Amino acid sequence: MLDWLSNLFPVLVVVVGFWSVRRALRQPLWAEAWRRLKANRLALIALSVIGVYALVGFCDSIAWRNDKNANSLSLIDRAFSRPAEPTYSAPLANKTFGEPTPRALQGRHLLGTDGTGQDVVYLTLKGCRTALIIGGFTLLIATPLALLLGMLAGYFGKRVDDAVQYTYTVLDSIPNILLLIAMLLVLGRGLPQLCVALGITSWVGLCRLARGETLKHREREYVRAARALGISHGRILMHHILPNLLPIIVISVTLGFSGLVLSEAILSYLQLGVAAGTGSWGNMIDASRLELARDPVIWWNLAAASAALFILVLAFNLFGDALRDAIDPRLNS
Amino acid sequence: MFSRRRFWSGLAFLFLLGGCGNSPYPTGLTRESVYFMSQQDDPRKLDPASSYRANEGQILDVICPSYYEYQPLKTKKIQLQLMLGEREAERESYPYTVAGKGKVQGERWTFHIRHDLRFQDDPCFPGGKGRAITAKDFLYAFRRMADPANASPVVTFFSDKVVGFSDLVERNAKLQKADKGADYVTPIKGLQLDATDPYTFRIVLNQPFPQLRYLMAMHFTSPMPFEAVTFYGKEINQHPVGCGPYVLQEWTPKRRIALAVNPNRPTEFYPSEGDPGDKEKGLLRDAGKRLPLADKVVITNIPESTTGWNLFLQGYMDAWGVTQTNFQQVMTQQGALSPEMKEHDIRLVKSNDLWVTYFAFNMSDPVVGGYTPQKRKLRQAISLALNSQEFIELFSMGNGLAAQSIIPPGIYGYDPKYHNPYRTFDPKLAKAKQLLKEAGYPNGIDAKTGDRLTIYYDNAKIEAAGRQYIGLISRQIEALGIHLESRAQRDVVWQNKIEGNDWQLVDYGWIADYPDAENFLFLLYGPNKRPGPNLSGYNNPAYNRLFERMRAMNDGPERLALMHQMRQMVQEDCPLIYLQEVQRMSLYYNWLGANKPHPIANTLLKYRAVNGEQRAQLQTKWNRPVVWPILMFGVVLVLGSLPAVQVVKHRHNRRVTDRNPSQQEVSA
Repeated sequence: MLDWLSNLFPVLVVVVGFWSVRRALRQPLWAEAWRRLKANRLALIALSVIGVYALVGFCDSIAWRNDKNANSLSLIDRAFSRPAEPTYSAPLANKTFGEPTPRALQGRHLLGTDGTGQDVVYLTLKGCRTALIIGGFTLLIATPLALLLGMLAGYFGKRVDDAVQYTYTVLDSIPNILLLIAMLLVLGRGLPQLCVALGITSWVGLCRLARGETLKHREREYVRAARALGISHGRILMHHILPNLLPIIVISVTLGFSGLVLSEAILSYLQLGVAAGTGSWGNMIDASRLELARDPVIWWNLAAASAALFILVLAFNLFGDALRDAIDPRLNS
Repeated sequence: MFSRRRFWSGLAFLFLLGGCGNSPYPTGLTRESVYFMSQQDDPRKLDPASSYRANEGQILDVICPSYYEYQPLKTKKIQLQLMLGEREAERESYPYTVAGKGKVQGERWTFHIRHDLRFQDDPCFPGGKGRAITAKDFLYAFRRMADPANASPVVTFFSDKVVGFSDLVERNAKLQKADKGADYVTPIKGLQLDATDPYTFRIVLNQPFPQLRYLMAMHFTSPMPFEAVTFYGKEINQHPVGCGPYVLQEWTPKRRIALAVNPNRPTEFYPSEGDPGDKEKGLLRDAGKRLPLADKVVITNIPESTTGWNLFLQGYMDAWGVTQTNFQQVMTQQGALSPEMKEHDIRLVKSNDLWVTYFAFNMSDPVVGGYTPQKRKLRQAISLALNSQEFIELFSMGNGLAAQSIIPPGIYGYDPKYHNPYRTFDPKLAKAKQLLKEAGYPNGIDAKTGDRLTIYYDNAKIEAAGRQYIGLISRQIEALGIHLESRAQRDVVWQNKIEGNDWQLVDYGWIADYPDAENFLFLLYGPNKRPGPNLSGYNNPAYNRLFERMRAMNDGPERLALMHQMRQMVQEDCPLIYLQEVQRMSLYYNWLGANKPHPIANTLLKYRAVNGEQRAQLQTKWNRPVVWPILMFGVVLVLGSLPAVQVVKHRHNRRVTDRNPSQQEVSA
């Protein structure tokens, strides 16, 4: 029962995502943007790369148990269901690495194994889901918060604006890392806690942007006209201002995603990342602190995690830039 | 505006930088008789009453010595020798009567200290000159341990034995609650000064306790001047004032500690006797020389092992350990020192530590604790699933022994022939699975509920190496069908969980305070439960009775027989899973005189001899500036800039050309 419920969630995320995109594409602005995106080969490659990562993350989210006492295994776990090796092994090696008496491996591993004997390709794929969850869920927390506060501050001004500005100025004046450390010490270690902590620390920039844009739009004729017709503030905000903010929000969120994925790596280096047992590129990179100090160097763990991280971040950045160009062709020049 | 003059002066500056060298020390210091070592982090404190960590001990024990010390060369049979003591302490039976208890068979120890002892020169003394040391200063050190403000970790070593000491501790605790200072005045029966001789003091115990000699070799019992405590107040833990071979010359937090020779140090010489074979190894070459052998010790903070290892290879550290990171570079497959290390004039020294590591079960936990046959079998099954050898191979590079009992080699009572039936690993786990079934968990499933048994492993292993450790223990225990849930927390949270008894399985270790089996067997003595050293809370009345008898005995067949009985009980109850008897491999440069590791002595710094001249020569040879990367970088930079220069030039010289002159003429 619990397996079905937990599997329903990623399916729902995918369905809602597709539905939103389909709906958006019916609107002229987004349809035109998609037409322009299709003409940009680099953007399509970036989108395909993101799609591949999303697919891996999705496969890793669909999990079930063989019996009630078995561990819940995802599609990725099942694809790599070989027993773990004793410890490190180099790519395609047949013996362990770094032991006084190397032991024979049970199989070959394309990118070798890590200290716990796990296949590095498997660990790298497991990191996809964590990265996407951290990026996605953090934005799900930060974006509504930033939009709500930014739009309220920009639209109503005066005391509301003062209060919101005061809040984000105070929050922004605390060093982000310090705030994250404090929050993670209170909330504990774990993926949801990390998303909450990152969400709370990352809404300020978007809130400023939303406030500025709302300030601009509230003086436009169509808003004045709506007001003159007696339309409520809530309706004006939701139906008139929000749709006009969406393009810039979408671009900002796309570019912000990569920053959040990178934060996980930094936090893992500070021993504040996700717990052991959760696939994480940050933890793999953190492990390399010792691995790079060895002679001969253990490079495969770091190389795989860095490459996966780099490709995803690059894809998001390229796609974000292309999306910006597509939505606002004036920026193209 | 960029000028040629600036370019050439910049280039000259870069070349001059090469002459600066890479030595982290002031010029010429490495040529002197200075021993350079490193520490990962600062000592938390350097107070004889409360410092307990190994890195604190090795500094503190050469500043604040005690009545006894360990003979540095006798490691086969560890021996004490006099340090501040004038002669061996006299131990005599001391029967006395206690109201309500009747006659108690205690003992009285009489200590005679040397008459030539002076504290180091320090601003806390009038005129900055250290004064003579008397027996009062020794007893003052004992009273400081009873002061709760000092949080002495060994107060329990004395409070249940020294007559009147526990009352003093309680009285001081009450005074602290009332926001008053501790009692340093009221005499107590257990600590007595001699009315006629200022260099004699006595300690009265309520039970025979032969291990007191060892306690008198620890820095906790080092004489302490009350002037220093008054002068420095709360900062006394950063200003150790003693009478040892060294004084603390500099302590720059997070950077370095420097020790310099104490001019007031007592006269002492390098020993002229050692274990058989020591003479041949050159260990007696410095026999008869006055201590300390090095004029100075510089301890640099190096948090990252990679940095330290590189400094060692450059010759800027005199010693370094063999770890997981450098093992492959240091050792050959055959277990010998690699040719690269030999070329570097490095020698390898292996040693056994009096250090045992183990996993502990919480004996009050409803799942893994308890003394019923089922609970015993569950612990025995888990014990059988853990393969010590794999831990040793992976984390200690095969260097260590799979522990079979709590007593490590080098301690009387260690039996190399003893094989614990529940610490003998069988890859098929046949016996372990059978025991698990008998415990009510066939294949790790609770026979009553049908759920998989989950055991929680609390730890502070949040760094990368720790994750590897967790991976290994999970794999080994889960082979039984049990689910192991790791709860990795920051160190403080983990410690709090242990103190709050909120745990099931943890891993821990014990390094001997003194080389006596009592110091290991007391880890399972019921009354020593938390906050005492008995982590698992094991409380077997039969074991406790045997321990109390054994504690009072000198080593001998009768004591050994008791120890075997205790071992048998613990083996069946299985509160601990013994993991490893730790062995250490260290690397030393040959410019250091011969040195011998000691499993317990903390005073080895004073026996380090350094040939500074040889070191400086080799450092110069190994650290010649390598200029080619800079030149290469310059060439690449210049070559890489050429296209850019071309583009700039091209743009700069661009002219508007007339493509249609006839039209121009027309318009004109």
